[in-house]
Amino acid sequence: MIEFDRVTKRYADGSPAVADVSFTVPSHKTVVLVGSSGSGKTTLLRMVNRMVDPTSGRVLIDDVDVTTMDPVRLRRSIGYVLQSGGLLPHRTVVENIAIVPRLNGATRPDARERALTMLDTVGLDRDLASRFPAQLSGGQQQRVGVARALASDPNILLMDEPFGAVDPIVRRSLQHELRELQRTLGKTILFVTHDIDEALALADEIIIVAAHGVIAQRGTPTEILTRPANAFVAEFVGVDRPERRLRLADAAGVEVVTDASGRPIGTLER
Amino acid sequence: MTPRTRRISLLSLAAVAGVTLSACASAGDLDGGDSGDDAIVVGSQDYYSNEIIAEIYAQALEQGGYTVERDLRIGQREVYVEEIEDGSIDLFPEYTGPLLQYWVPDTTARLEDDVFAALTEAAPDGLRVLEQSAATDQDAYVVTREFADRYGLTTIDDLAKVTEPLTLGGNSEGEDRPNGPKGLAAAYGVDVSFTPIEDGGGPLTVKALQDGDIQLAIIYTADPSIEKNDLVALEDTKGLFLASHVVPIASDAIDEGAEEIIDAVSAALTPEGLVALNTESVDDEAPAASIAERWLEDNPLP
Amino acid sequence: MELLLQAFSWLLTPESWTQQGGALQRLFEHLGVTIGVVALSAGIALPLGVMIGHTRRWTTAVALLAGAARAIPTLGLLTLLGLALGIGLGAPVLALLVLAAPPLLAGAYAGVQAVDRAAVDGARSVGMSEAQIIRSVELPLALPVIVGGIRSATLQVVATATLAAYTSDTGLGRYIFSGLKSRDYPELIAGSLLVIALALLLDGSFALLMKRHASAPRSDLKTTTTSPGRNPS
Repeated sequence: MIEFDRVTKRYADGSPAVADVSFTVPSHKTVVLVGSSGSGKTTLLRMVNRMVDPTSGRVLIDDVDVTTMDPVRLRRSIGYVLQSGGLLPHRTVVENIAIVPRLNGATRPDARERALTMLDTVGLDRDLASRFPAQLSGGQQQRVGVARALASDPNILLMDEPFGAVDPIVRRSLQHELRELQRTLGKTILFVTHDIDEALALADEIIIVAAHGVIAQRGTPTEILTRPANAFVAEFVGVDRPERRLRLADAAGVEVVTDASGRPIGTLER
Repeated sequence: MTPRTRRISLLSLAAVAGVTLSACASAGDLDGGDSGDDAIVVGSQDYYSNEIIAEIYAQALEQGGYTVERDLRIGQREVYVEEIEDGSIDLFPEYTGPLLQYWVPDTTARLEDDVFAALTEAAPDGLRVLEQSAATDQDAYVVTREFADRYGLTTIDDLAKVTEPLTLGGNSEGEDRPNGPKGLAAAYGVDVSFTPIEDGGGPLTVKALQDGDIQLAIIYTADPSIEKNDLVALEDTKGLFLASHVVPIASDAIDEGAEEIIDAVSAALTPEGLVALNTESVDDEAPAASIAERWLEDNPLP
Repeated sequence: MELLLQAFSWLLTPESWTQQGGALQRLFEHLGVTIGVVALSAGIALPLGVMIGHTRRWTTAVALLAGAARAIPTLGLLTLLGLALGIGLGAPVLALLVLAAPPLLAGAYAGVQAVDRAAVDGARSVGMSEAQIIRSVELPLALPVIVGGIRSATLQVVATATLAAYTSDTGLGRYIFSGLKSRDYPELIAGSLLVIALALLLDGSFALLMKRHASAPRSDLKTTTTSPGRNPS
């Protein structure tokens, strides 16, 4: 479980990145922080593994204040997937994935074996093991990033817009696979994105973040969609957008689901 | 040409002509004709010490009632000797050794009297050398006063008394020259090793002497640093170095009266006196004229 | 032309090489001074530069200092040091250390600073300590620039190590000073040719080294920049 307790982060010039933010991430759940850029969501995420330390307030993991823990050891126990992948360009795929096990003292053969298993887990061909990151496609690099984060079997996964730089088709496929993975692995995931649709696709719980980390609303995807707390949330979710207001139409005996302007999206399964 | 271009060309031509004419004028009267036939032209090398001596000559002559023109800091020997030989310069402070070598390159004279005699003979028609001064300005082997006292050294021969290994430090051309270690071995039977110090007898060389890294250095006798650092120049009895005393060259324009005055100056100029003049120039950076003036006050001529 | 031929004939005479103070001895002395100075200077400048590049602090101050150091004329510094330390190799070596330091320093901090911050951030976030980041991420990725700095420093030092002969009986500079002062131009030219040859040899070795490193099976060293449009997984 991750808890943010009245967390504030102020920069050197006094401007606040996040101001007095409190929320919890229940264990084994996926919580998605959604907001526009600059809202402080990445800052909040990076406080969990102490890449950033709060100016005031506390971040607790299983009731232990993270600032009492050694940052290096803390980070080795948490999986972190960066937006740009953050892979080491001069190491092979398998070496990249094996990093944390190696840092934790695993022998090279054991770490390698674990890394290859992770390739399977994220759905990558083992052939890619000895390639270098630049020889991979964007989607492949992101999967390697996820594999690396999972390699030491951490309880917590921090994901910072991990699918942001990939094309929409690949993104959807990656989101789907993450959901599948999460069903088997049951990690505690804190996920950051600016894409509300991604949040709707992935979250057990969504936290909509306005400027300075202020929480505009918190709830399940259904709650957010059906009962937006205020105009900001409604605007952000896009409740008035055509693709949110779906209808049923009949097409020769088949029930077709269309958006508000009548464009077909899919068929209805009863 | 357009009128404008023509105007520019004419102006440029005028400018060039003007510059050339003024340059000719400032180059001095080469034939020495129009500026007063009685004026004695005194020249000097482009060497601060030599310039002071020339100023002394000039002021001494003026005190004696002569009109003097100065043509100081001329340059290399090749240049000014020609001017002396063709009559543009009447009086010039020189040094016996190098001047002899200039006129008689293969001369074997080394000791001061031999050099002076050979020089007197070698002077071309219309020129003569006057009395040489006791003041010298030549290369010499120097040691620290402490070293000289320790072994009782006054001449280079005395180096035979030294019981520790001897090292000479100096410009690299000294290594193979006939008056370097080879000369010391051949003429004096002294064995000396060599280490290069390329500052021409300057502060690094002096420091090396004082530190004991070298025991011998070659420094010219009129260098203020000899006195300043309490160094001792060893007498060169076998004439490794060409003797080089201050000596005036004079043309026929120098009459008996002028010659007497200059001889008096040469007699009054001692080796220590020359070093003192150089020291004054280096330390106080006073102009040659005022140093010369002061010397003449301290050494009134008969 | 005549002098050049004489220089060559001097170089081609075996005694020129084998005699006491001959070319072979001088070459080794010169090489020794060069390698010694670069190694010593690198021992100080490289760790310093890496630290500055890693922490990204004091970069302006150091850049100014390095620039100022470059402006110091080595002979002037040598003379000043000689007045304090006396003759021998001490003053030239110190002066050459000052000469070698700026390119070494600049190569180190520029190389480390240029390493992709995403890779460094990624390494830090998975739990690498700062030392491990420097060792496993920044140094390997900065190596070409660092080696470039060493190469530049070596070239400057080998050309200027002729100054060792100013106060000591060491190196190819002996031919240069001796030839210059005694107007033995074949000796001067021969000495210069030897310095040039040594410089080319050293620089050529670096070029070979860097080419060997570049053609090794490494990907392009930019970090993973994912972009849409690549073949989907």
